[in-house]
This record gives sequence, structure tokens and C-alpha cells, in this order.
Amino acid sequence: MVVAVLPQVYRLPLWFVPMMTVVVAYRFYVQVNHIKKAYNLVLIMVAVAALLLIVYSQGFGLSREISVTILITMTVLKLLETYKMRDALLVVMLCYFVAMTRFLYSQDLVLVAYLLLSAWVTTHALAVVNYQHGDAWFESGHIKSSVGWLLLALPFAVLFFLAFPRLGSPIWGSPDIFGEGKTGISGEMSPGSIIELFMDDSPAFRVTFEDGEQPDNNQLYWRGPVLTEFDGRTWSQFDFNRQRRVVAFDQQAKQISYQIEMEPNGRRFMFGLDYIVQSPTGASLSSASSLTSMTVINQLKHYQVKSVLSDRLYQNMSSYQRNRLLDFSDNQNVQTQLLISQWQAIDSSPYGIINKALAWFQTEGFLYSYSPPPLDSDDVIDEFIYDSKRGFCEHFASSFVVMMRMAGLPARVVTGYQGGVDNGDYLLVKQSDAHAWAEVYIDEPDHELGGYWQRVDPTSVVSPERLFQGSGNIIEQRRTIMDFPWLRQARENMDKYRFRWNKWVRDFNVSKQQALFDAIGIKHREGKDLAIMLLTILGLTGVVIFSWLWWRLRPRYTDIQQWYLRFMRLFKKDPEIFQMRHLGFEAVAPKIMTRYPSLSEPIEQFKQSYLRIRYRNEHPTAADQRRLQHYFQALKKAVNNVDKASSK
Amino acid sequence: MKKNQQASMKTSRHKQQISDIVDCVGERILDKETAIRQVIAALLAGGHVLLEDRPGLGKTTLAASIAQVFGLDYNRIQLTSDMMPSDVLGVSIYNTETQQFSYHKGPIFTQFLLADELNRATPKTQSALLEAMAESQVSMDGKTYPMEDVFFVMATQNPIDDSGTYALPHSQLDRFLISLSLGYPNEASERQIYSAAYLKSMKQSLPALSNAEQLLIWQQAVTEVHAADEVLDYLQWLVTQSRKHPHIQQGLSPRAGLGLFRMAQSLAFMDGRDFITPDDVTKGFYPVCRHRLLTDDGRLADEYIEDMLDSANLV
Repeated sequence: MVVAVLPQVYRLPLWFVPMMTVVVAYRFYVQVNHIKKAYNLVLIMVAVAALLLIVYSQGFGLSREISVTILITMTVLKLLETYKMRDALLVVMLCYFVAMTRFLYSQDLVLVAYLLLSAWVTTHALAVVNYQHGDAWFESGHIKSSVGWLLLALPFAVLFFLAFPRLGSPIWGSPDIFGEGKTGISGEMSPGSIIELFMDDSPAFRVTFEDGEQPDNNQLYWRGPVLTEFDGRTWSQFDFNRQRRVVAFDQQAKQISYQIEMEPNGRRFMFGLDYIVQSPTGASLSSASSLTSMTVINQLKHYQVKSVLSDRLYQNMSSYQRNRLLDFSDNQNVQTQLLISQWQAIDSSPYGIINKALAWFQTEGFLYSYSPPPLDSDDVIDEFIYDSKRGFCEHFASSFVVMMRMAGLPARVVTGYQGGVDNGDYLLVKQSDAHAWAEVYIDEPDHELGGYWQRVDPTSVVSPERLFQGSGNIIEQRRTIMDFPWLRQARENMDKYRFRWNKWVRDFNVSKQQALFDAIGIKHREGKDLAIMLLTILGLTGVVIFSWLWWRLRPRYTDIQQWYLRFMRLFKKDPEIFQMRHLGFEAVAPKIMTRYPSLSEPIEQFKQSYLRIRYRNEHPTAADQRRLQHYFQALKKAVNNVDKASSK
Repeated sequence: MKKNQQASMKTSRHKQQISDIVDCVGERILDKETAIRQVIAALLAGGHVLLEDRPGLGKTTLAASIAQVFGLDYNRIQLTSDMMPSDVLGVSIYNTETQQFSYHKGPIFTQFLLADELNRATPKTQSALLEAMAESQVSMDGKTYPMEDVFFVMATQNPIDDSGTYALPHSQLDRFLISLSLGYPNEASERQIYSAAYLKSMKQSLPALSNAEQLLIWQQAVTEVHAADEVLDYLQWLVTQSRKHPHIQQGLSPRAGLGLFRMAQSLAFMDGRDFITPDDVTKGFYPVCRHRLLTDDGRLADEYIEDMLDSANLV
């Protein structure tokens, strides 16, 4: 019987595909051919081999990965020795755990939906195993009842979700273990690194503007890491953090505030619109005006930012800083150096140089492309400016900054995101919105800070569409095999749900929980109190359910049956008689008569009346009832007399 | 109310009559009141009785006594292995005077038939008798000859392990309403059998306390005994239990269920009631089941019948 059930067990969702296939195939083979159980020794060897394999591939140490892998592997291997009911149940139960471990990695909406499905499949398997016949799997009645069971668990799930004591950070969020791995802006930039991000449509963060005022697309420069160090190919950060940030904002510019919900990226970078006024709590604002989180962002992060929408920021500059920002290697990109000196001869003012450079990009046949030819010479800038002339934002930003430095203007690369998709009530910024632009420092001796940073986006002259319409509109051909406009649209729509999911579920953290408890007036919020409260609620629910079941299933007696029970209660003191009550009046009465001869007459009278009412008159008259009552009283008296006599 | 009282007057009168009959037979067959009551109940229910016992335990005496007190015509056939169906049913003989075949009725044409040692007869004879019994008529040469209005068969059977017997097939057994076994009397009663007074009384026949007309009225009255749904539920439950039981070869047939119902009605009637109670069903259950339920290794299912009755819920 159990064997008939076993085929069901395999349809359970497991994620460990390679070995599973073999094991399941073997299990089916066994099932179909009724092979005898494998030898224990073989099983042990297989298990040990699997363990060694895991250690070999993932190394020693108690990490989340290794624990999960072992759990899944052993669950799958358990199938090899699943022959009894108990084993089958165990496998199904383990499947719940296996499904749950997936949450250690991500709590995304799609995943939750999938895990709900697998929880149902597992529950259904559990039910089918209990029905003990193989056909049960597809019976609609059984499917319905499994869904019912799952729905029954829903209130408890909600209760636990709301009330279970929460930790400040996830237990698995230890610094060396990240979420889904590092994604997004990396703090370094080399030709091709932004293109890589451009291929990725996953969300980077979501923005909700206060007052619903969304700036124009060309103002949406989401500032990330600022890169100052160039080795001829790759840009990287330099830590100016120790410097105090003294800035002044453009007086005419508009100030806006907005809320950002960041997807975990495994790094510390946070983003905000140029230029950020104040750092939110839990983050710091560097002298280069980029935000850095205090902790690695391994879970959804929310923060509130205030920005001044402007393309310039007044800031002082130390000579040390100025030197670093002018640095470029003299012996590289000689052609470009020559070009710059020609421009300087014509107009050496900062804006003159900037405009010359932008005009160069605009008029010399440059193309904005996400599939540029690789740059492999030592003189990357020369090669780009004179030869390939095709590139993505990182090529333009990088070249432009180097050109500015050659012209004696301090400049730096800013990485981040540009634009975003208006997705209903929020702005969705995707990884594909990643962007790089340039900032040039312009001296203004009249200003108390001595100068300002001017944002220059060389991409904008080559491809204004990128700037005004967003990254999605510059896609001319499919970036990857799976790249279709409808799919992008679907993903954006999906993100709307994900946004709400994040808002209501994923982001339900300690502080929100406490706020909830405050709202319903519970003051004690320590974990222990919560646990006690939870258990109490659970216990009470159990009591309610069981009482209800008891009430539903309790035997229900008719009036005449009540009379019989009343009669039996007269003999409660005599266990021998009382235990016979299920056999009915006619079996008990003779027994009583032989035991207590003095009761014979009243019992006989009661019996006549009782039997007639019960088995003859379905609707006894009041007179019948009275007679029965009368005989019962007489009998009761007689029984009392017997009791008295026996106690004497 | 008045009608009720009248009815109860009537019932108490026949109750007295029947209990007189039981007592009267009880003077002959000592210590067997239950068996006597069961046989009379079967008679009132219009069924037939199968008595299974060793020789010399009073089977014949019981039959004769009951026939006498009910004032019924009584025939006895001793069945043997060389008996032909015609020996039971009768035979057509060519009458040389009238130049025609005329039918000579066999011993089966009576009101009370004792078929002694039924299992000694060959299957052919057995089935001829049992068919006539079931249909209350005999068909011979294209003519049917009906039995008497009152027709009651009491067959006796030696235990099956005796040599030279033909065990009745299950289908034939089902035609008997009840089956019972008298068994030995208790010591005191047996001692009384050897007394001079008893032996003297044996020589006289019992008085006829009733007659065939009265019996027909009673038989009709039995069919009118009321059964509450609750009691029928219990009866149905018992029948179902017999079919579900893991150690019983074959459960009760609907015919057996109906027989149990009639038997319960009859027992209630004898008790002076115009309605049956679960106790009537309980009392009738064993004799109705005794010859019908066999364990999977071919024994009587007495212990299981007991279990079924005990597991009932009659609160």
C-alpha cells in the first residue's frame, strides 16, 4: 500500500537537480520493477560519497550554503531507502524544510508565490500518502481538501508573521554572507562594466516622491560612487572621506524629498539625486556627496533623502585634492593631449574646453552603442576618440574626464543611475539604468568656497534620447536572446506587485512590529513576552477549535434517550451495571432486577411506559410523558431506599 | 386512548394464551423455555425451523408437543438415503376404473411436518421438500396442489460430521427462518425426566390449547406489529455488521434480514406488545444467524454473533 503511494513523493519540488534526477530515476525504476531494498552498506557509501562531494565543492565550515546543500542532498538520498509509510512521511516533511531554506536567500514576491505552490504540493503529497492509494493524487476532491488545509493554516501564518519575535537583522545576514550576490554599481568602472549592467533589467531601487512631484527625466541623476583614480583603463574610488564636507547649494534650485526602497546589493552604496542635502540615518555622506550605508545592504533598505535638483554644487577644494583630480599619465594618450592643447590655444576658459570636448563628441561621428568594439590598446582614450568612436556612457565619461584633466580642470567620474521608469505611484530604477557621467570643478574666486562642481554628461550630446527618454528607449535590437519589449513591460508590471509586497510584507521589521503592538496597546514587547503571548493565542485557538469539534461531534440525544440516560444515572454507583449502558434498556433492566429484586416492580412499570413511548408512539402525548415522569420518580425513590438499606 | 386500551386488552389476552402454550410444552420439554419460545415465534412468523442436535435430545417430542397444543395436523417423515421425492410429495397413479391418473398426496400435505434427519436424504429429495416448503405448493403433472393455510416444517438434522449424510447447501439453509440446538437439559431437569410422574404424563397427549384458525389470526397479527425507525436502524446495522465482519464467510441476505424482522415482530407479539423493541431483534438475531453465518474455517460463528450484539450502541 505504501509502495503505491511512493510515486507521488517524487513530484515534490526540490532544487538540487543534478543528483536528484539520478535518484528519482532509480526510485522509479525500483518502483516499477519491484526490486529488493538496496543494501545498507551501499546506502551508507552513497551518503558518505555525497558528503565528500559537498565538502569538496563548498569547503568546510558551517555556512548557510553547506547546511542547505546537506539538507537537500540527504532529503533526496532518503528516497533511496523510502519503503515504509514512515519513510514516506519523513520525506514529505523534509520537503517543507527544503522549501523553507530557500527563504534564507531571498524573500522576493515571485519566490514566495512559488514556495506557496510547493507548500501546497507538499501538503497534497502528505494528504495523498495518508489516503494510502495511488490514484488519490489527481482526484479533484482531494486536491480541494489539500487547498483547504493550506487555507486553514493561513490565519496562523498571518498571526505568526505579525507577532513572532523579530530580530533586528536576519540571522543569516552575517557580514560574510550576502543576499543573492553582488549586483549593481560596483565602485569601479572600466570599459564594458556599465554595459554589463545595461543588460540586467532587475530592479535596483524604487523611489516614491513626496507630494508626487517627479522631476523630469533629464534631472534624474542618481548619484552613486564617485571615481577619481584612473589607471589608464579602470576608474576606482579614492577615500577623501576624512575631509569635512563644506558645501553650498544653488540658491535658485528646487528642493525635493523622496523615499527610496533599495534592493539588496551586497554592498554599501546608496543612491540619491544630485545633490543630496543631508544623509539619512544609518548612512554617511562623503565629501564627494555620495551616500554610503553603515552596514552592507543585505536586505531591503528604506531611506528618506532630501536633494537639491541642480547640476552644480559649490564646494571648496584642497590643493591635495586638486592635484589628485588633475592626475593623468603623461606618456599615454598622446594624441588626445595634443588635441587638448590645440583647443586650449583657441579658448582656455573652462567652459570653452568643455564645449569643445562636447562638440567633438557631437560632430566627429561618435555613436552611442551597447556593443562597442573592444578597446585593447594601451592608449584607451586615443583609441576611442580617434578610432572606434563607438561606446557606452562609461567610454564617454571616462574619456571626457581624462580630457578635462589634460586641460588642467579637476574632474571626476560619477557612477550611478540615470532616469527610471514611471511605474504608477513610484519610479522604478533598474540595473539597466546604470550610468556614468562627469563632474568638472570650475573655480569661482568670488564665491566664499572658491568654486563649484559642474555636472557634465557627455553621453547627452551623443544620445539625447538616453537622457530624455530613459535607457529603455535606446534599445534597438535585442540585447540578449530573451530580450523582448513585452517581457520588459511584463517585468515592470510585475514590479508594481513586488513593490506592494515589499511594502506590506518583506519590510515588516522590528520597528514596524513594535509600532503595530503599540497601536493595539501591547506594551511588553520583549521576545519572551511575545513568545508567551503567541503560545497563548495558539493555545486558545486550539481550545476553540477543539471545543467546536467536540460540540459538533458530541452525541445528540432525543428526549426519550435523555430519559434512558437519566435512568442509567440512578445506577452510577454500580459500575457493573453502569458500564452496560450501551446495550440499551432491555439488556440492563433484567440485570438490575436480579441484582436488586426490590426494584423489579418499579422498573417493570417504568419499562412499559418507556418502551411504548420510545418504540411505539413517535409523538408521545403529555399524558404519556407524565406517566413516564411518575414512574421515574417512583423508581428513584425505590433506588434511594435500596441505597439507604445497603449503607446501613 | 380507548382504542389503545382495547388493543392492549386484546394483546394481553393472546399473551396469556401463548404463555399457557409455552408452559404446557415446557412440562414436556424441561429446561428449554427459550427454545420453545423461539420455535413458537417461528411458527407465528410463518417460517420454518431447523433443529440440529444429537439423537435423543427431544427433537421429536418437541415437534409433537407443539403440534398437539396448537391442535394441528401432524405428519412425520423419517428421511433416508433411499427416499425418492415422490415419497414426500406424493405420486400420480393410473386409476384403472376412471382410466385417469389421479394424484395421491404425499405426507407433506399436512399442517405440521416433522422432517426427521433431513440431511440423510439425497440432495434431490432434499430440494424437492425444500422447494415445496418455500412455495407452499406442489407441482405435479402440470397441476399445482396448494398446501394447507397453516404449513409449518420442522426439520431435524444430525451434526454434519456423522457419516452417511448429505450436508444441506447454504442456499437451502437460507429457507429456514431459524435454526437451533436443544442441547442437554440441566441435571435437575434431567433427573425429573426419570421420575414416574413424568414418564406417566408422557403417555398422554397434550391438550389442544389453540387451533389452526386461531394460529392464522395470530400470524396475521404478527405482520401488523409496529416497528419504529430506530429499531429498523438497529436491525439494518446488525445485518451490515454480519457482512462486514472479516472472519465471516458470507453475511446475511436480505431474505435473512426480512426473516429477522418477522422473528422480532413475532417475539414482540408473544410478549404482548404491538411494537418491536431492540431486544426483540437481539433475541431473534442468534437463531436467525446460527445456520447462516459460518466462519471462514467452516465453524459456527457463535462468538462473532455475540461480539456483534455486544458492540451495538443502544443508548
